[in-house]
Amino acid sequence: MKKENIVLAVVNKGRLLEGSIKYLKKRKFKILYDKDKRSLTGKIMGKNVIVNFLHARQIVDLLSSGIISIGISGLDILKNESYFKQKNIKIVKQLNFGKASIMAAVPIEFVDVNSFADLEEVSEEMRKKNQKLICSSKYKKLAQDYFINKNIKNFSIVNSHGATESECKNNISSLIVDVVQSGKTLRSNSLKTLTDSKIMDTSACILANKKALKNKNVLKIVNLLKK
Amino acid sequence: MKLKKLSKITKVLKRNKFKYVDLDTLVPVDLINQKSSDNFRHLMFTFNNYNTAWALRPDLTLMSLARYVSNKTKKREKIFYEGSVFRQREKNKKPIIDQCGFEIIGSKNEKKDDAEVIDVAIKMINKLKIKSAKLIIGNTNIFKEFLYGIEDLNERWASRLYKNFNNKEYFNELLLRLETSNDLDDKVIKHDTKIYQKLKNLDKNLVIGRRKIKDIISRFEKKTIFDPRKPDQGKKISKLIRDFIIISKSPLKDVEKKLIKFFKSNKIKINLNYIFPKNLQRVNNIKTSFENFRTLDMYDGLIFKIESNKKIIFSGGRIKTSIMNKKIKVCGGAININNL
Repeated sequence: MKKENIVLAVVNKGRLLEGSIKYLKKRKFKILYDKDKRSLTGKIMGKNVIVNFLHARQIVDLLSSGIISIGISGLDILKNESYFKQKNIKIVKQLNFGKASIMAAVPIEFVDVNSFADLEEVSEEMRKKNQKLICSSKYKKLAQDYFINKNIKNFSIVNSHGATESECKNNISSLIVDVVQSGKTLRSNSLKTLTDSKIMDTSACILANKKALKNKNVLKIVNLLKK
Repeated sequence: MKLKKLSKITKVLKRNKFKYVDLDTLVPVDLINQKSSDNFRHLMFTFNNYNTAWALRPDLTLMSLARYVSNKTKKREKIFYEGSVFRQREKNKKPIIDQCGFEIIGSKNEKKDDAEVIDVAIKMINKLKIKSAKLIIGNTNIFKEFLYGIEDLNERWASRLYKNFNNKEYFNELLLRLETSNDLDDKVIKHDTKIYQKLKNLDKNLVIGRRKIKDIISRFEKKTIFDPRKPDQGKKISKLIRDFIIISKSPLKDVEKKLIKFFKSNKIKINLNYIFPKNLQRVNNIKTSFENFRTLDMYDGLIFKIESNKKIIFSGGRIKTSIMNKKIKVCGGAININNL
């Protein structure tokens, strides 16, 4: 009887893709795929594993619904999902690449704002003018939970689909929550961080669907991957 | 079983002239966002209907206040209600909570109405024959006046500490910041001052990050120039606050004396005319104590809870809030039927 193929999802671009390929290669998981044709599927040589190259968010979605069994994606992406999605996924191992922080930043002109306590006061001043503190972010849940934790109540988060750093300059928002590596992009967009800006540290992770881990073949692959 | 208990509670309320009111199940999300005190936004179940966002009611007090304001009355009303509220909750907890609450809305005589609310709550506990009940009282105004009364603590910091007292972890972080001044970085202050000088030369109505330059300037001046932090006093103030929290957790009969002594020895002037209804020192078989409650943000004055076997079965107090642009004073309590 032919063994069923196990699906391993890897992020389809950027540093996470490079890091994942390197990591897999070190563990003798050589991916066979057509680089030139920008193929979005491949397979692992000598193993019953199919590789899908997907968007980082889609990996978490598909892992949660059980459509794929194993994936490499960002911890930030997972933590930004609802509890109901997160509960179906196990973090098998945090990896040593794709490291960054999720941070809040405000325009450098906000000389009166150095902490979230300042932002809370600004948000309450805005309430008096029937306004809200607007934050641009693709990390809606992470930002919302952090704001609530810092007792900010009068706020709204607008979804940002790229170039988040420019949204304060364009007067779309008063602050942003985004992924920060060196801080260079923030500085070049005239943004600054606060004393308690850091929402979380993130890195690439090996993730697995919890139900799929009950399958011996999946568990075997996961064990090989986390070595 | 629960119905029997509910009927006993209802009897006590009716005997004390509280009138039953029926409350809506759905609430427009906007109404909750406009409410000035604590909101339940992050816990609500919401949906859209033709571009209007609605939520399943997350709280019954909110609904009763909305009802009161829509009736366009200013009269003192004694009402009660019962039903389910819907909130997103932690793992393994049902998102439906059954509550029964009663309120004196439009309450102006603070002392009289506070005493009546606690008296009715105790009658309910007695009627339900709840054993080992413990009544814990607090008064948010004492903590507020204490913080604002600390001579070397500026108003901005007093307000900041008061507002964040409900979040233990963050409150401690703020105290630490006050103690060590670890958020005051000379480099940052210098840099900000430079930018401030530049901002002063710009058009004051120019908007950056949705804020007018004049607002940024005025807040910076208030914070850095007119209301500076005194880092050397931070440690002393922080210790004083921690001491107050310990002292305020006392049996009801001792707390007033202890607080007076504490304020006197630390030269803090506050008005101690009213802390809690006086009749409470002689509550029959219920143990009483005083505590500085963490959930201060929506309360204004009296705050209380009744516990039995470490479960909160009753909680309430005085709320000053505004809803639909109307200011309301209300005193009341809610019984958690699930915990009975």
